[in-house]
Amino acid sequence: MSQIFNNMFKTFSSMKTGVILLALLAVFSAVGSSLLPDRFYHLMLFNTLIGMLFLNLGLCTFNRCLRVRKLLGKQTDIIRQFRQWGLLILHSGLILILIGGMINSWTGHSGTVKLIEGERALINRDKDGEELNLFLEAFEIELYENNMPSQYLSRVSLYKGDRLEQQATISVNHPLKYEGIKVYQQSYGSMVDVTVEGQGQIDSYVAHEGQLLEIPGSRGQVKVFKYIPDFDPAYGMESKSMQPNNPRVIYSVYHDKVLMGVGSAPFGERIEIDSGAYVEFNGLKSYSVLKVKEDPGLPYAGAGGILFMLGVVLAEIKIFTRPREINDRKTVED
Amino acid sequence: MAVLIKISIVLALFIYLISGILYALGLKTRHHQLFRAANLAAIIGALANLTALAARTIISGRLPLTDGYEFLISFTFISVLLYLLYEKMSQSKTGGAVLMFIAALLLAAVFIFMPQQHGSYSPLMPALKSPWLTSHVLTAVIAYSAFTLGAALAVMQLVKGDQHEDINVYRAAGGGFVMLSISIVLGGVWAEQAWGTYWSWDPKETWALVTWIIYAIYLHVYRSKGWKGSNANLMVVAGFILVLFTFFGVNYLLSGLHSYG
Ligand code: HEM
Repeated sequence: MSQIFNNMFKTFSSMKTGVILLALLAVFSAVGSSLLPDRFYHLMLFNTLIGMLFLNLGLCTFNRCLRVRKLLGKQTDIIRQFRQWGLLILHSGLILILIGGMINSWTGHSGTVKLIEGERALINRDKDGEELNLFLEAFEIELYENNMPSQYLSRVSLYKGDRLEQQATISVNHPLKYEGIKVYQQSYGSMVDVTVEGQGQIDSYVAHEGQLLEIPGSRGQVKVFKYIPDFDPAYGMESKSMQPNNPRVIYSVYHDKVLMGVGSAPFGERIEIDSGAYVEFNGLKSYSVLKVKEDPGLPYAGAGGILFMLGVVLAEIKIFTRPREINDRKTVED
Repeated sequence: MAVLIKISIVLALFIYLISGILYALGLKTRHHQLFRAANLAAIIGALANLTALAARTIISGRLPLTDGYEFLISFTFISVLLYLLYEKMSQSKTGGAVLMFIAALLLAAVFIFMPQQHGSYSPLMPALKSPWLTSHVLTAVIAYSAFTLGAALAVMQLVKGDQHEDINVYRAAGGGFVMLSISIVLGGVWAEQAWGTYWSWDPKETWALVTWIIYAIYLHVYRSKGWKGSNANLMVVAGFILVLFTFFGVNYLLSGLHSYG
């Protein structure tokens, strides 16, 4: 019985099994990403494969630990020592990366918040039920001379309960970090501040592009179709530039959801769209889209990445220093 | 400047081609003079290639490592440079013909896939403004170049049916593997900073992983019976084809499906 178990253990922890699993992983990734690009990595088969590779890698690295320990002291050749340590470190690094990934997929989470300047959002609640709120003070787009965006900046304040914990400027490549939570600049957009008036009643909205607004006391609607920062009839529905040189809102008017007409309006002008019905575009409110992420596995994956890079370099140094030893089996096994 | 860059690349392309032909003739006739001429042509071609890179660096004010066009001309230059170093150290000329033809083809790809880009460059979009990205791309260029050298040597050994020098293939592919490993980790660090995810299984990442696995398998089985020699060399050639697919296939063929830089 223990003989069978021993053999199974040997087979499963062998490098041959590892190589076969790696080959399967390569084939599966190539085929999977072509057929099911968005979800092949969620498939049971795929995760089983990674799980088996993890076990195999763990067992063979455990064996390698034992071997390197026996070797300690006996081995005096520095390059061969590098080799042994390097192999141990690189395989351990891979294990840590996989552990980090698994921790993330089991306990990590992420989501996005969309904030207009002056708005706040609840991003987390800690163990004692205290709320963590993110407040967007200001959002800004920096431009190059040719008007292409060079950076997106969100100035934020982070509150725990009522206490101000941190003030920071989040930009692309510069996330905010707070107690294991990271907040990233992900995207942005703008909404239009509108008032709609009908039968003497006024409704105010902050509308996104495409939003349909009811005109009070009537069967009409008005749709905020598109905001164009630099309107020029020659460019049609496209903006001439990113600069707000001639800002216009393109809108359409409906009656019982049937299109009646399309128009363009500057900000701050009260427009009569039907008898007794008015619309006024008051201004723009830009919003920032922030990604909030918590990944408790990140330190493991990070440490694994560093160990892996270090180990690969140590293990392969002989390529440049002792090329003739590459074919020497003695450098491979003890 | 744009004209200078274009002329340099055209020159480099033709000189690489001539160098490849001279190497091939040298292998056939064993005239030593031909190898000397081939080597000289390779050096001149590399200088023209370097001129294009330098001019690009001057007009854009940053290292030429930020888009597919710059990657390709850097990749070609480093491949030729690695080959020249290899030839100097090993005194072996066998890989020259294949490598120079590959270099010429890579520059020809510039004219096929991105003919308009010689003088055009745009300021960096926010996500690309990161030192992690620069180190990620630089290590990738070196890795790809080492794989190119490995494949050139492997092809010649397979053609000649003589695998005695397969240790040189191993050194190139192993060195490439080290750089690719570092590159993938650095890419993960950058993606984590920029997007908040170090690995997202997008096509580029997935195919880089497949490439990396092929070379990892190669390193594991290189010494075993039944693999050493021609089978191992075939794997290095397959790995190189995957490198090309990861670059051209994912960037230019699948771009209809996946809309990223
Ligand atoms: C999964 C089970 C694995 C086992 C049992 C295993 C075992 C081994 C062994 C015995 C060696 C020394 C072989 C030699 O140099 O001839 C080795 C080397 C190496 N392993 Fe693994 N390995 C496994 C997985 C991996 C994985 C997933 C990777 C990732 C790519 C990896 C990367 C390496 C590298 C880079 C070397 C150095 C290769 C060389 O220069 O010869 N191993 N491994």
